[in-house]
Amino acid sequence: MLGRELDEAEETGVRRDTEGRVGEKPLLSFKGIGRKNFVEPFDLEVHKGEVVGLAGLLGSGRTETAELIFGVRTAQSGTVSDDNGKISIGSPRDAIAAGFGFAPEDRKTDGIIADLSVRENIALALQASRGWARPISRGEQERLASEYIEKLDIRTSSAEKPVGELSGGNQQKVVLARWLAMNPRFLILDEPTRGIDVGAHAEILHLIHQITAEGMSILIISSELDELIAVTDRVIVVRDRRHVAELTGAEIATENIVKAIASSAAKKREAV
Amino acid sequence: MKRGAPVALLAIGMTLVVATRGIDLSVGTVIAISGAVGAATIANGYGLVPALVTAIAAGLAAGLFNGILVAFIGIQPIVATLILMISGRGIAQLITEGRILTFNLPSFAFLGSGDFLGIPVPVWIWVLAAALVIFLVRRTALGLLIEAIGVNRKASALAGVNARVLLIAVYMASGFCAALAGIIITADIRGADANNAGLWLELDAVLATVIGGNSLLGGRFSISAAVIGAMIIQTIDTGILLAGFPSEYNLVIKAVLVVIILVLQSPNITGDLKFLRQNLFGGRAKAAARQEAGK
Repeated sequence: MLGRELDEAEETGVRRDTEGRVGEKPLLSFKGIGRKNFVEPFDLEVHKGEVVGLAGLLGSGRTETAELIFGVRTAQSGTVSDDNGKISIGSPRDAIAAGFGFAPEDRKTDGIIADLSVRENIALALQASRGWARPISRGEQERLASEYIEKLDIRTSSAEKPVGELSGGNQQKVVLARWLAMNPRFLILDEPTRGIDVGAHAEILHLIHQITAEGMSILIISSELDELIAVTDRVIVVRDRRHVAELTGAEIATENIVKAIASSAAKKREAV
Repeated sequence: MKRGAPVALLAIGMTLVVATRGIDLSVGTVIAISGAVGAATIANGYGLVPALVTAIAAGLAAGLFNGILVAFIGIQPIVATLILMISGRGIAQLITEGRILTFNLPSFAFLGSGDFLGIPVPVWIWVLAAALVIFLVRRTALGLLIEAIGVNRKASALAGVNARVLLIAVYMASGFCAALAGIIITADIRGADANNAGLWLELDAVLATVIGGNSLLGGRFSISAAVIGAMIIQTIDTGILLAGFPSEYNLVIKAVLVVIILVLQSPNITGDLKFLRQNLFGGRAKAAARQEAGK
């Protein structure tokens, strides 16, 4: 079912070649970021408008990587820097101030604020970053909500409906809208298409193409290899809490990813 | 209105705490502490302003203590505030040295029993406090951020809401309101009674908040509804006394009324009532139709 949309995405030439980027200065570079018993130190460079994928088995350290980058857990080692020098990230608030966004894996417990309306959920991150003393007026919130309801095609009877009553795909879109309203430069999506219907799935992938074309960079974590292959410019394979392989361009193919994921098991067997 | 001032003040602070899915059981004790601190300040020869400042500072400090326990150490609110609820009376007794600390300062007593423009001063205090808090939460983004924390603290923190600081702020607001209530009670009786000031008032405050329709599970809240809840409780209290019932019946009657109010508010029961009403009316309509047909 998914195949059709993915094929279309491939045909329309959304996969941009990354060859031209190699020499370019990265937008963000993470060096030696790690935390003991969490994720081994890793390096990561993200270019403007690039989609980086994180592949790996469940529990291999993908979400943990995202959490270190976003400051949900503080990194014990390593530095983050952009064009203007070092950025220190000790909490999600620091990460947001640095222009990051994070749509977590578990939408229900970490993403949506179920009892609040679609409007309030969309305005929340923007409001939190502006501080409590500078409220976004009701009119502005409504404008923001209707803009993103239309843009992301969020199916809801009204912007005042509690988000908890929407379907999974629409909840995910609300979380995305919350971050897009911030206009971040680097958005982390952890399993953005898990447990949502096919239509919304394709729409979210389409959206990823659209926003990266506008210059936003994305780190996407997914268990669906098809999806990674369709949207990413570069795939990093994570295994046993370690970043073990990086695939670019034509190397991004199911068999290569599977091989990288499985090679540790093979090595272990050899060792025995 | 005047007798209800302490409960109304507590209900204002309690509503904010409850909106974050917390509860502040220490407010009754904070009344005793701040009253004792205020009275002790006066007894040591200071004037009105130092007494107010120290009493309010005591309330804020108590709130800060609760807030840190809840926000940073992660103790459940009901347990965290229970600590101060129990230990706080001891602190208040240490301050008053076990006696009822009386004082004679007309300007301070005015806060408890005076009139201004024909309206008792305690009423002014709680109405102004309620107006101030409502203005603060609805004209700024505080209301939205507090509700977001109450519904889902983790997701709010991930969205960049400074949950810890806000939690401490609401407990401090609750402590502040309790300190105001303590000042009123102490000023009214012109003495600080560490044992009985504010005794069990925290439960009245929780009740007022809930009667006002605020859910203990956090989220949407209404300060004005909580204040109305406080007035209902006070009306019941006063009404029972005026009706000539012995005061022993007071608590029982209050409990019955509260159960009735809560049952009427319960969404389950509301649904059932609607169903019942429709069926009854429906039945009558059908009977009428049958009669028509019979003719």
